[in-house]
Amino acid sequence: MKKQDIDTPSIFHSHTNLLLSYTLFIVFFLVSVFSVYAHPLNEKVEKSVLSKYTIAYSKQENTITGTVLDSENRPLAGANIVEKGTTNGTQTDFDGNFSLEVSDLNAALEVSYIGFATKEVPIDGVTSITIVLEESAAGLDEVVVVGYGTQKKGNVSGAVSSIKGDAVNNVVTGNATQALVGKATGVRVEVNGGAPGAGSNIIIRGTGSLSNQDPLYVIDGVFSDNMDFLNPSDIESIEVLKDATASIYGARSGQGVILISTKKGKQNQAMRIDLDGSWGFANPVRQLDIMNASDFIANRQQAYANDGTTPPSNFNDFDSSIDSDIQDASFRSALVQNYGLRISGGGESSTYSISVNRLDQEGIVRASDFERTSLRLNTSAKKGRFNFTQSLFLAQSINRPNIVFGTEYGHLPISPILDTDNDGGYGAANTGVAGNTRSTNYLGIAELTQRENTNYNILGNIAGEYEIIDGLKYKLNLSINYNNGRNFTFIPTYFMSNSDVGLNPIADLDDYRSTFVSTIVENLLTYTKSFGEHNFDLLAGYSEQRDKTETIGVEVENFFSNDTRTINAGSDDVRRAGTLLPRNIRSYFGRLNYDYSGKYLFSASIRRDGSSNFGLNNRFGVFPSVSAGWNISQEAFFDVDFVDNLKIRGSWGKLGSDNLDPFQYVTALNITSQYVLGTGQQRSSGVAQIQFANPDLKWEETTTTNIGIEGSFLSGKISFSVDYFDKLSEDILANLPVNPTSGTNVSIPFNSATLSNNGLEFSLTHRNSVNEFNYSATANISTLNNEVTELGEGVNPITAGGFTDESFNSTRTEEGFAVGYFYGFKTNGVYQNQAEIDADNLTGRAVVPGDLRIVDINNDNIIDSEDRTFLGSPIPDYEYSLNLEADYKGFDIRLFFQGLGGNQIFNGKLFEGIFAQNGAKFEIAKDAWTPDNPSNTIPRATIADPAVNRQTTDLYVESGAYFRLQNVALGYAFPLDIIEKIKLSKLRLFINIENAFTIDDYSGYYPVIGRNISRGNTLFNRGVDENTYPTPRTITMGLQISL
Amino acid sequence: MLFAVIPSCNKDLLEVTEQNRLNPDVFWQTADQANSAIIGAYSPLGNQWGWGRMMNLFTTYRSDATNPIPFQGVTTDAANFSIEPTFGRLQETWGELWKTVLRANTILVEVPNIEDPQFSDEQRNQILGEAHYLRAYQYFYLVTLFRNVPLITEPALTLAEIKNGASDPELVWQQIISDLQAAQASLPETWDDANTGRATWGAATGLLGKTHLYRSGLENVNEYALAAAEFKKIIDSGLYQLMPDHADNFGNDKENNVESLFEIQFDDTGLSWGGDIINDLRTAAFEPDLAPPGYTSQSGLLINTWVRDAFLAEQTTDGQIDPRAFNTILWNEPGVMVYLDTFQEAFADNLNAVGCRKYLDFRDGKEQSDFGFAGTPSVINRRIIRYADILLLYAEALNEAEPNSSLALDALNLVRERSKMVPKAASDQATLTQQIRDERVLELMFEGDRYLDLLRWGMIPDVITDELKSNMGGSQYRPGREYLPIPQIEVDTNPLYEQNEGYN
Repeated sequence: MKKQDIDTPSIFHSHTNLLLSYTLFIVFFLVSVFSVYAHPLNEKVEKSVLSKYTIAYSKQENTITGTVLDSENRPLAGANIVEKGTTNGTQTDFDGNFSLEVSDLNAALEVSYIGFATKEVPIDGVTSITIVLEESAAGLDEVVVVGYGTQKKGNVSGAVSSIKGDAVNNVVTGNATQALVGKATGVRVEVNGGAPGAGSNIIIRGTGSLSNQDPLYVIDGVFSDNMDFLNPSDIESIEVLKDATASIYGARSGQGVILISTKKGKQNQAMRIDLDGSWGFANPVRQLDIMNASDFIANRQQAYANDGTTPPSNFNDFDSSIDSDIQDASFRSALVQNYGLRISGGGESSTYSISVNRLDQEGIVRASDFERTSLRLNTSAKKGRFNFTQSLFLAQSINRPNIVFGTEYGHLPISPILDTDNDGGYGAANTGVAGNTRSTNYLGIAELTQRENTNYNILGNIAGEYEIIDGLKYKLNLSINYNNGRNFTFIPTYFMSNSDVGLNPIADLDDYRSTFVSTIVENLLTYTKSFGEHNFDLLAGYSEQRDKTETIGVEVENFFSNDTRTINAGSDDVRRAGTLLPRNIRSYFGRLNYDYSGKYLFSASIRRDGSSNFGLNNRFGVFPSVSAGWNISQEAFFDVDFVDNLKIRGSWGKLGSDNLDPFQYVTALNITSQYVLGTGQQRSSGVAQIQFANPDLKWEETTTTNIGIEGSFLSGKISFSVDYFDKLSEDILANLPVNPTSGTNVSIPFNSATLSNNGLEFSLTHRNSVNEFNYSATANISTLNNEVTELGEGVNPITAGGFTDESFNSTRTEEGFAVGYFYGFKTNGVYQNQAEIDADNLTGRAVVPGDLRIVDINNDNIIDSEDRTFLGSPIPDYEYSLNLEADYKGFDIRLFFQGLGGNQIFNGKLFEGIFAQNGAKFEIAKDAWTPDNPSNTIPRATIADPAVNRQTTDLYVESGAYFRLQNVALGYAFPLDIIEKIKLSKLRLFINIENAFTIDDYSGYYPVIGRNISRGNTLFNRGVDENTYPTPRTITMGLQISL
Repeated sequence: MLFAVIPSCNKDLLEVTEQNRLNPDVFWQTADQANSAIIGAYSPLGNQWGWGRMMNLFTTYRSDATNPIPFQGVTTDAANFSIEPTFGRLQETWGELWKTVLRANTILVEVPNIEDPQFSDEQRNQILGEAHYLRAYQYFYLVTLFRNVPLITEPALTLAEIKNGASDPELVWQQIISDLQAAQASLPETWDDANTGRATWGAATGLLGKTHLYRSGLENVNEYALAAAEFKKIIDSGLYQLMPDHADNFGNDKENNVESLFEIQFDDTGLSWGGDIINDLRTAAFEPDLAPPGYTSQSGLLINTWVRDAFLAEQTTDGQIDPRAFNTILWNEPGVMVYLDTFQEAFADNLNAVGCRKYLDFRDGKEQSDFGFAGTPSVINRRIIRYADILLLYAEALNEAEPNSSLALDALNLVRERSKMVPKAASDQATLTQQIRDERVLELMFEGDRYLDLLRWGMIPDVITDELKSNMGGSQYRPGREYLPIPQIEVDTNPLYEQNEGYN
């Protein structure tokens, strides 16, 4: 230790390092808050923005007043005016007026506005000026956030999708991740059904890993693995780094990077108060056709008759007057409410933005709801060469999920839903009644069980920047990401039926908490310099990240009362768990951006990351990238009138993933291999090696290539971009089974697989204004080919996708196919008679007329596991969206259409509907084959099922294609001259409809399936609908007020 | 105030220490650790994938006595020989058998090197003896259920060493014999109360005798004399005797009694399926697989009527039904209860049906069988070898080694005498052979022996008929299927392995 201290002259050392980080964080925070509040807002500026007469009042020697207009002579509110070469600037008010005190009346003004070309206007001694801005060609001067900085959109040579905040600000679901569905090409959002607070996974440009890693989210500089907890209306913009541009994030860039910027206060803007509220209802889009009680009984009797077996003696022990519909009883019209307040503004040298938000969302299925409260504080302050920024986000969310809705053995129409005689008050059928083996009541279980998942999130970031010499800046960025999660479950005693899933004689409490703290200390040096037409932008950085996850869990049971629900109130200890998982990362990175006159663009970056998740054999990874672009339209020889801009660009780079839990490379012994011993029959603790370790684990590495062309025509009326990408992901970690003769049967990770993704992305926008009618239309199309090109030496296909409590699987991952494709038997109708069976002459199955006719794929006359084959893929071949927006005299409308195709859904619900051991429940089962009803789709009713009709076949596979009007928003903003009288600057009423209509062929609730999270949120359970929560249609109304 | 924040180069940053799990480098130091390691080697025996449930499917369910009603492909595929290599229950059980092998192998390498002054030679030898016994115990079931298995006697040190092809079964048998001889030499005759249930001299000796007897049937060698000699050691030791009542062997109240050589211990505190996790289920969760229809969350087990007829064919010396029938089966006889119901109530639709009684737990007003997550699971210990079995095996071995030995007949009659059955008179060797075989049905049915008995007698292809497996649409037996398939996961992950005959 001592030697190291001498060798490394550093003020950052282990503990002191962390302590210092926290101290600096707090100091920065206090300084910036103080700077905002201690520095009184400039009265003059505040008034100049608010009212016209103060312009005259405050007019001074060097004050310029003026108006900023667009080419149609409409005022532009919020345009930025800066005295060139200084940081002195202001913004226009709602009528496009501004006033700015300048140091020199011979200076120039730089006027900029999003979507318009920045204009430089010489003052030439005049004090009143009208400035007309031209709409820019595809916003070439817009600034795009890239890793560790920003870049002009026109100079970007990689594939970056930008999404403006207003596209996600007012989403009904309240979830920023889900709001991205269809918003950017190449970005697929897998939403796990329609539950309030439902999780979702973003897949950028196809699945490049077999683990579960999401893209890296960087929220105002803070790293996160999701953004579900954000308040969507805080978001200013989202940038998706889809290609080698992500490479600057090295080891965590493998699945792409999503950069989120939240709303900041604007300089020289008077305090502004924005209030918004919305209120509405969600309802099921559709219901399933469920059998009534008499049909259900008839189907069961038919099954016994077909099997030639006698029903159990208590078969008829039910009340024949009962005909219950658990589905109907489970659904409701669900209230959704969302309220927000934002206060923002800024003075000469400081800005602030404070927002609070509250979301209350009931689920359309009873016993499910979600609530979130959040607070955000963003401030900035500067003095001379110092610049400070700070952001702090606090959120609490509580999710009360109903995870049992639609599960197997749920309920039979012959049993009462409520039964006040039972402990808990719900009913279900006893074992043997109607021949069922197991029965419970999933509405009852959901209502009785207290399941509460609470999350507290803190995201904080503080940065201090000092400009050492002109163009050379040093920035210290300290950030913290803190999450405290708690999953609490209390299952009270209840009795619904004597089936082993229908009763709970002993109450159980499970309380699991986890704390995640991640701190990053980032040192950045940037240098911006131009030599003539040569423009350089250099970045060098060093960062240290320390993550620590601590978990603690306790389970106790046997409560004297169902009303005492704490750990102390439980009589028996059942289980406790606690873990400590650290992960530390050290990174060095650098980047050069160069352009010649904005014509020739070049960028190169490199990053070296070391992670404690890897052993000494492979601890560090290096991730380089290069990209180049050519703005052809700026060449002298390029002289096409209608083309504003045309750019060709290309990129190549390596991205990494440290897709692994800590300590996977270390062999360890298990201490809970118990055995019962002694006359008292007590558990003794046993120690055993239960798994091997792979000491050679290393990064997953993705090589990505992108070629794109983009341009705009007719003064920005039409803009487009086309990208082709090719991604090869190698050394992909897969948890692979170890041969059990090793003495272990725990799968361990290997860098074994190779995945390939390629596709095309098109985006086309048309925007125009006719008189006061403004409209725009944006169409996006993305295609994707996903293929596992290699699984690894001696590695067997990965089987997953369970859809029932029986041991059937539905997905397979192997070479030559998409990840997690549907795999099973092909059928060719139903055997109508013995002659057909004889003609097929197949062995391996005990078939009789009425059984499914399974195709002998390999033509060996035996139906066995070798006859399973490709049945479909959960991954869409293409996705598309169309966004239409228009406004006219205060009215605005947005129509967002979205669709996809080429994928399938594995409708596992049909198992419950047709084959379940406790009885078929769907109407379609009434069409089961009988000699009198020669159905060619639904096999005969049977309980014994000797031909195993219920196993994985194409009967379950349905088209997953859909087209929907995902969102309609209609609004009306009252005219300014009216609302100004009541001291408002904005009053807008709106109505918002989510999932207005959907066109699809899917027979389940809704074709948005995501992953079958009840069998684990993994890639291999994609598109398997076992009990996916139905996606609702939601209609909300609301208003927005600005003061 | 902010300058001088120099990039840190803290060398320790990437060094983190695993504190959640035990590192093997700090283990294998003390006697206590050696003891916990041997507990870990026993562990796979008693969980749900072992004898807690699944081993019952691969032994009892496959015999000619059982005719289960199909249940979700979970339990019945083993019974009608339609089992696929991909069958999940098979893969789990296979894994459990091999876990003990690895753990025993590691103990046999590491425990001799432990330098702990508190570690007595006696304790060290006992633990090594247990490791030998447990390795032999699992290999005995591996070779009799799967036949083609690799012989692994050293723990793998690297990933490259874990893949091994199947060995000649003869090598496996020889290892079982030498392990059991080593165990015999170092295991105690009994354990103190705190350690009841651990392997003893008797357990090793009984299994060694069984090994010679099984080899004589399966491998076409004549080791009957060797087998008889081992069984005789047990008889002569005086350590074991028959309990007064046959029923004493299938209840919760007289576990680990003087008739028992080795049994799997159960408790009722389990929470989850599977092994190696804290508080995994270690109940007698095979009870629902044995219980009749309507009294189980499974579809239920029916017994072929020949079993009942075998019991009713003879009477006791005082003209009663063989008392063992009431401990073994459920049939239409006054007084036969199915949990709280009479047989007539339980089987109203099919009074000719026969159910399994052995190992069902009727205590405390239980209404039906239970796995253990809810209700009252059975905790009745599973008897693996008991003295009555030893006597019958001795009779069988001796009758082959020394035809017409009166000692063989005496051993048989000792078993019959307890149940007041009329003693068998001296006859010829073939008659005695048949009498012993019949007696095994009456004495031992549903204890896991019947299928393996049929296997070693070479009778599987002839005995297993469609009729006996009628509830499952007949037997799917094909030549080779008397052995189980090698689980697909092994064949897939271990290129040195080939699938067993009958499953391709």
